[in-house]
Order: sequence, then C-alpha cells, then structure tokens
Amino acid sequence: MAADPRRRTLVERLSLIPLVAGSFFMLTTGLINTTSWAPWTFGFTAAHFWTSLITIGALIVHIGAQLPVTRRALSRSAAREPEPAGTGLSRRGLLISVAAAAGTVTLTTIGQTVRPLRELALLAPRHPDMGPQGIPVNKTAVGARVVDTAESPLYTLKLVGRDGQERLLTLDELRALPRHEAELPIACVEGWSASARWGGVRVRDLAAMVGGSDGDEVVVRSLQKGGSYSSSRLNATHVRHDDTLLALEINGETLHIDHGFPARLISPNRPGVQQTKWVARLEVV
Amino acid sequence: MKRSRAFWPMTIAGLALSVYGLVGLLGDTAVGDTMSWLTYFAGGLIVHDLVWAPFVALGSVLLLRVVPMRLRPVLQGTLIVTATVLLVAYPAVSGKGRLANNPSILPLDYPRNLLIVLAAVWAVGCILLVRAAFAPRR
Repeated sequence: MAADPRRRTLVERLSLIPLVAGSFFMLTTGLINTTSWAPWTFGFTAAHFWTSLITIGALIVHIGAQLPVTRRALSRSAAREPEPAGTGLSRRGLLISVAAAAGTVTLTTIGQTVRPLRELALLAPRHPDMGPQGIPVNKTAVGARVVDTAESPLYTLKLVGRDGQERLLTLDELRALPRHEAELPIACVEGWSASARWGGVRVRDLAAMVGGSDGDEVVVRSLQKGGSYSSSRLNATHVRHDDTLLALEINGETLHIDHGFPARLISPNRPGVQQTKWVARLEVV
Repeated sequence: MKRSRAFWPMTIAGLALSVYGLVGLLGDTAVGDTMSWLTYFAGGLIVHDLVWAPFVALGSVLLLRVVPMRLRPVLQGTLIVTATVLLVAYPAVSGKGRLANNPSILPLDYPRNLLIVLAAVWAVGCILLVRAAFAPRR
C-alpha cells in the first residue's frame, strides 16, 4: 500500500480525541463514584458501559495506526541501539515511575478488600471493619426508606409458588425453621469487600414450602419501594446452593437494620447490590 | 513510514465499535442526561489538554533551568507519584460523598492520611535525591 504519512497521522490524531476523553472520563468519574459522590446527572452505570466501548474502539484504531512504530521499536536493530541521552527521565525511568505511582495508589487503597493490608488503606473510601456490626453498608435503611416497615411487628415474609400458592411467615416462624450458617463476603463492585458469618434459612427450603423444586429460579423482593436494586433474581444454581440463605443473623447477632433486618439475601459469587436487603417476598418462577 | 497491513481492518473495526458505543449511549434512556455526559467526556479532554498538559510543560521548562541533570530523573519520578496520589485522593479528601445516615462511607480522616502518604513518598524521594547528588560521576 502506498505510504501516505499525512493520512496516517490524521487517523492517529483523530483517534486520540475519543481515546483521551474516554480514558479520562472512565478514570475520573469511576474514581469519584467509589466515594459515593455523584456531581453529574447522567446514569452512571449505563454511561460507563457505552463510554467503555467508545474508548476501546478508539484504542483499537490507535494501535492499528501505531503498529509500524511499535514494530520498529521492538525490532532487533532497535534493541542494539542504546537510548540516546535525554534531558531527564529515561524511558526505563518513566516506566519505573509509573509503576511506583500505581504501586503507591494500590498499597494505600487495596486494604478495603484485602483484610491483612487494611491498616495501610489510608486513602480507601471504605474500611472493611467500619460500619454497623463491623461491616460497611452501601444503602442504609433511612436511605432506602424502609425503617417503619422493617421494624414493624406486623412484618411477614410472603412466599409465592409457581402455581400462585402463597404462604406467609412471621419473623418467629422464620426463626423456627432449620437454621444454617455460611461464611460469605459482601463484595461491592465499587471495590470494597468484607466477610461475615451469616445465619439463616436456606432459600431452597423456603422455595420448597410453596412447591418449588430443583431447577426453579427465585425472585427476591425488598420492602424498599422502587430503586434499581429493590429486587434481584436467583438463578437455579444459586437457589440450590447450600450457602444461599435468607439471613437473619450476622456473626451471631440479629441483623442491624442497615444490614437488612429482618431478613436479607446472602449467596456466593454475587455482587453486593444483588444481595437484596429487607426481604419481603420470595417468588418461585 | 509504511502503513501496517492491519491498519485498515483495525481502523474500521475500532471505528465501528466506537460508533456503536456512541449510538448506544445516545439511545439508552438509562443514560438520561446526555449533556451532562458530554460535559464530563469533553470536559476531561479540555482539562487534560488545555490545562494539565500546558501546566506540566511550563513546570518542566522552569525545572530544567533550576535542577541539575543528575537530580532530574528522581525529582520527575517523585512528582509523577505525587500528582497521581493527589488525583486519586481528591474525591475522598473533598468528602463530598459523605452521607449523614451512613458513617461507613468515607470513614477515615483523609486530609491527614494524604499528608502521611505524601510524606512517605517524599521521604523516599529525598533519600534517592541525596543518593543521586552524591553518586560518583559516570
């Protein structure tokens, strides 16, 4: 193909606009979001999803335009030529500096999920020990407007079967059911996680009370009205898992209302926002 | 320089993905306020290219005049780490995400912690600067 340096440069330069704008957008708004601060009015998760595609596309264009440069820099003849003396930091020095910057940021934040390093987590937006009952909280009962309904003595859990049969359970009836324990983390997509020992009733046992059988899925609904995370769906594998519980206790204590009193879902390998709190209803589907 | 054989396939594939992302973004009701998105998308580019890059360039010119060659690499490295730590710490230090009903969000004293981290970074930087200053000339 005929060499046309101007055209290549143009494509390369144009691809830098979405590449820089997109990378900067993903990094800064993502970082700001982990501190629960939202100075913008766009929908964060949807905007991040689409912007990531824009950015990855620009990166592919940029790599395509830069391939000859990359190939030349990695060729054997280039390896034999020493780097010419500059006016400051060498290429190797720059790589070391970037590694040191990334290392410093990692070391001072990773303790929010790697417990042994928690005392070093000086800049982390969460501390894995700080929160009610020693576990952080994302949405409080006040924030979700469920204080009155969750603390109501009239609370009942409603089970709904595939055929429409219903069963109501009071909190005392729930506590009287066979109790199981599981050691599971709340793992937030924002980057923090904290483990606890949960006690409660297996979801599959509750599903079986309204005719649920192996292979059924379960929709879990909260007392919370509205909001993207007021319900979640358990697939059949999650439903049949021994550790999938409707938890009533955390580390041997009754759940704090901010952890979902009277009952919350806890299940392995699910993001924290899908561990539905203040559960009012289980529907076998 | 000759174009790579992968130039057009990668340009077309990358462009298609970017356009798909942009069209998806504009058509997604969950994104909602597209102008707010554009402010942050274009605003980041403007801040990066028209504020941050000139600031770094100007600072570099000044440092070139003042700082002798043998100290420059360590000083540059220390400044790169400092700028990164400041950028990453800013949202937490500002405390804007704090919620009265949820003390587990931003539970630490971030201004104090930022000073501790910067002090540690500069302690290491200073040791390396002293070592560079007294290293035998090559």
